[in-house]
Amino acid sequence: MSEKLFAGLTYEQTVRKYARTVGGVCLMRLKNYADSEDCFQNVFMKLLSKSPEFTDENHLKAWLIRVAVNECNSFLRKKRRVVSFEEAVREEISFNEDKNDISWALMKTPQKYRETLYLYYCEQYKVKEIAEILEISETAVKARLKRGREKLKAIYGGD
Amino acid sequence: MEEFNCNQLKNIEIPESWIENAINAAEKKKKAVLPPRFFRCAAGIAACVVLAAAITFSVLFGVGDNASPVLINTGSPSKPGALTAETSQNSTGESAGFASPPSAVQSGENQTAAALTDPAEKAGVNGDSSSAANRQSSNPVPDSTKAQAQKGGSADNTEEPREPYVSEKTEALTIPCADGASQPQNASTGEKKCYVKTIVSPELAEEDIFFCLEDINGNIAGNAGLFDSSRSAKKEVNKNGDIVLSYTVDYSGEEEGKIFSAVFYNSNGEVIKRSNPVPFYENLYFSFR
Repeated sequence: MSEKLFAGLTYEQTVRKYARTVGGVCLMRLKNYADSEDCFQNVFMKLLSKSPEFTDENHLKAWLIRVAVNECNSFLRKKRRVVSFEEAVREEISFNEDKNDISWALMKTPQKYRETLYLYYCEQYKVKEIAEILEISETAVKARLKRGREKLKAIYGGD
Repeated sequence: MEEFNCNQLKNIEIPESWIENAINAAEKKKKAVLPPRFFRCAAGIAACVVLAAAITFSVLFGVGDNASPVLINTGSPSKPGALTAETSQNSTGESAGFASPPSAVQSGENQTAAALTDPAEKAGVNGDSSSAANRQSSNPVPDSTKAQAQKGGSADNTEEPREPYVSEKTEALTIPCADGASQPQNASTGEKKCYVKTIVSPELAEEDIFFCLEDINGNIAGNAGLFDSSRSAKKEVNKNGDIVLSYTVDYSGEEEGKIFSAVFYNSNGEVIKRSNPVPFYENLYFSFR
């Protein structure tokens, strides 16, 4: 039986190509490697089990990000109800303060700005596309980008 | 401090173990669980097998039920009365009984049973005009066809159903044509004019052609759809060399938009040509050779 293709890519190719995107979204939301990995694995398991049809790779990428966002939201809802004993020992992501990479500053911004900035600057999505992925209005995306940049600048500058 | 620039944001690196775990988990899942498509396919095959079996079963028993009356009807020489009755019925020229023997067989086992049990009664029924009623019960036909059958005409469906109207139209045609179509029209009735042009063969152009517009029920359109081409038609030759007969039809506004056919008769009242039905509007153009 031939292997299922996702927008012309095999499952392994899809994982390798979009691992950084999906992982980045999960890390931006959860700020935690362990939890992010769980969500990351769930996203690709869903891809395999649901086997949706994609028109092209952009469609595939948008679907993966949307599912990653949903997985993270679902995880956060569960987390509110169940408090784990491991919670205390879980490590948050830490970055070195590199002048060429301001990701460390991004991780210090509030979650809603962090996510929007990540999609805009790292994944190169347009405002309209971000609005569709996060299911918010374009105005809200623009506002988040503006305030996120201000906060990022403040963190970076030590304000 | 370096100048702040958001473009300095870079993709976050994720551990390679995440990717390996995702790929390995997929491999394990493939081995452990059959994809849902397999179950859909299996369910589909099972449904097909059950359906095929059910159809075979029903066909076998269904044919068995229908087969018995056929054997009784056609293969019982001990009942000559029934066969005689059928023959007498068909001796009048009405071929409905033989034209569709399967329908007669399928029409009802009661009819066949009645013929077998009481041949005299069957013969009596066939002796009067209620034979048409028998046919009606066994094989419903349109009223017009039944009327033809009662007149002794053939009920063959291949014949054009409008043909019987010819004689009536011929009678109707001759009367107004005697006065011609050039009678002064009453302007107060709001009559309109429709121009009909017809291409005819040179031979046909020499004949007297009667023309009328008929609706789907065979009614003549308006109050002036009847012409004697020898008197009212204008004969022209177009640039292609075709002979074109032009008619002017006066009609009431009520006819507009209704569906009519242009029908042409020769001097014997025979239909030469019937056009396709078209909505009746001004400047109609019927073309035929």
